Amino acid sequence: MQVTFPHMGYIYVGIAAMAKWLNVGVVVPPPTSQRTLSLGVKYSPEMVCLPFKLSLGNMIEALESGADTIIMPGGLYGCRFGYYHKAQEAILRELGYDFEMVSQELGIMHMVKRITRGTPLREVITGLRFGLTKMNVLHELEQMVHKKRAVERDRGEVSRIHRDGTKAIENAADHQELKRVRQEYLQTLKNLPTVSPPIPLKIGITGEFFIAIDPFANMDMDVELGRLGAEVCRPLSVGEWIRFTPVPIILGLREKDRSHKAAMPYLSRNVFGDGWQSVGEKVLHARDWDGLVHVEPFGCLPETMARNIMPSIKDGLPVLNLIFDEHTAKAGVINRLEAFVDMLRKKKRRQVKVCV
Amino acid sequence: MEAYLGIDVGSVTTKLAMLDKNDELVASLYLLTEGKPIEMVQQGLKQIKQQLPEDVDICGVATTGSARYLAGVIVGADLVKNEITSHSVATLQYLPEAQTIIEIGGQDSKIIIIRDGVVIDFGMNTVCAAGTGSFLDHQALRLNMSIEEFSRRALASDTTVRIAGRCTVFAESDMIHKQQMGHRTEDILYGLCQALVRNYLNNVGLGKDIKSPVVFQGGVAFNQAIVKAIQEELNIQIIVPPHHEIMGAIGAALLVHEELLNNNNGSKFKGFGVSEVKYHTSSFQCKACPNLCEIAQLSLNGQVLARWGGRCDLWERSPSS
Repeated sequence: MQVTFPHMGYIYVGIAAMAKWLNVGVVVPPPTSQRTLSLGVKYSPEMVCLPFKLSLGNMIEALESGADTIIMPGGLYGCRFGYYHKAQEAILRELGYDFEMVSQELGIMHMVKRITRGTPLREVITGLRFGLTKMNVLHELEQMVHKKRAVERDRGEVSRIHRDGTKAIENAADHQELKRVRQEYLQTLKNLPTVSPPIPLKIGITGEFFIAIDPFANMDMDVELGRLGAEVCRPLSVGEWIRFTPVPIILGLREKDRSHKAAMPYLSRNVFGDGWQSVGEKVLHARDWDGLVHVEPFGCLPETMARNIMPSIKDGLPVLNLIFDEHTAKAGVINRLEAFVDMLRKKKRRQVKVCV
Repeated sequence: MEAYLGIDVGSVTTKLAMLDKNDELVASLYLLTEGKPIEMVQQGLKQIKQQLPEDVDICGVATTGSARYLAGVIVGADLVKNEITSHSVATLQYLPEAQTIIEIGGQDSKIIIIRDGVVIDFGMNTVCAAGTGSFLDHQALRLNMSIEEFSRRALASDTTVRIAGRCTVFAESDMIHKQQMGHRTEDILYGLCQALVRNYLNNVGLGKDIKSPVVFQGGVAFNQAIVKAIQEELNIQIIVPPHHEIMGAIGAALLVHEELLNNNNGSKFKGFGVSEVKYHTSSFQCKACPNLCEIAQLSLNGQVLARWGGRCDLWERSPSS
């Protein structure tokens, strides 16, 4: 059996680690590229959202490289995404591929059993734990990267360390090595020569999960914001998503639960996808962020609702809305980000002056 | 004479503005880009030189607009700035108490909200170009009239004709339908203006607190029918400033003047001579990874000056290699 799965940010690191631990054959799809997108667009219904097109492209490229089992989350997301695995399965069968589509619709454990085939449960759990630990380390590294990129002295240095660090985490064979890699890269970042920007800025990214975290889909938005000297805060991350620590869940301390609570006066129910959280993040971070970039794929219903509710939250946190599709005009995105950062900086400079 | 030059290379038009050391406008130009940004910048430099006295000394140059990086390399800009900042700076110079700027250009439309002289919020069209100058141009062309005639005739409308403004495709089929039903051209044209304004306010202006004084600028502000439609929709008096079409260029010039007051290391301006040089642009597909980025490059006498368009910095890092 050769298992594969679509890309979503760096989630491949965690999944590949689990598979290797459990001796399951895994095919990591080639990195998402223009070719992936072209394949996805060619075989997708025209009006579906970008995550559908990109994941379909990943699946085709993985099947080409010898995969025979595809894992695709389905059902629980609540928006159209929940049905994507079914539609994609039909499309791929029509294209003549022979494979098995596995989803967690019948429960996560059911899915895990189907893939691990008879491996004792205890073994499975240690494997999952290893994968999750990798995702958490990646998350830690990323947060440090976001902090440092805004103040780096040698342009591009932080991105280089991020790339190398991700590779090293990917290659770590056990918990011990992972620990060492974590130490090493966090330390390297900490010791990096920095410059202090005239006005430090914190910009949050929220919106649809896939677009927010996938660097291909959002055109390396966090790198661009970092280059402009802004620290990126992105509560959405795979690490955050799959964190199973029971205490924060019971106490409602997870970012997701806190944001839902904060959204209540403006949106009091789930609109599926990440719409509820998007609204909540704006309320929650009105004080500690200087601006908010809200991202969504074209045609996303939950985020369309969130986008239209946001202006009614009059807390003075400026929002820049960006809609992504298969177009490649990165200039338009950079232009808006640059103008946004410029505005926030001028605004903050004045506030600082008033305080003094 | 000390002078500061601002160049705004937009999708449809190229604007140049020259300010003296008191920030007074001494010369300006408004040209159609015609899809040839490099030639237009060169031609603009040549033409603006003729408007200037012999002893002019260019102390600083700034570029803005969608081709600002390209233009910046060609002229040797001291500052490259986005349009939002440029427009707001120019407007505030003209009207310090302005609270809202409506700017509609060839491909972009924006709204800028200002309070106490500082931009606090802005909106820009995202996936839709309905309601921008290009669409109006296209419709005028389809009806075989100049954009000036479009504006004049739309103002002569006396009956409301409702046109869908959500999407240019719907708008166009609505217009054709109304036209085949026998409605007057004047009424259809004004109906289109109203539709575009509605679309603009519902999309770009969504949730924005539009407060008077409202300044309307950009090429579309030439169109009196659109001005009238905005005023009717908002029920607010709209101010169209003089030189509204070159505000971006003026703002860029103001910004570079301010920048050089703070740290003046001399201008990087390459001189008016660049209008005589033959630049060469080309593009190629990078094959280093499956992304197949389209890299564009600008070269002079076989030497590469700049490269753009990669997802990584492989080509941008070392343009000379």
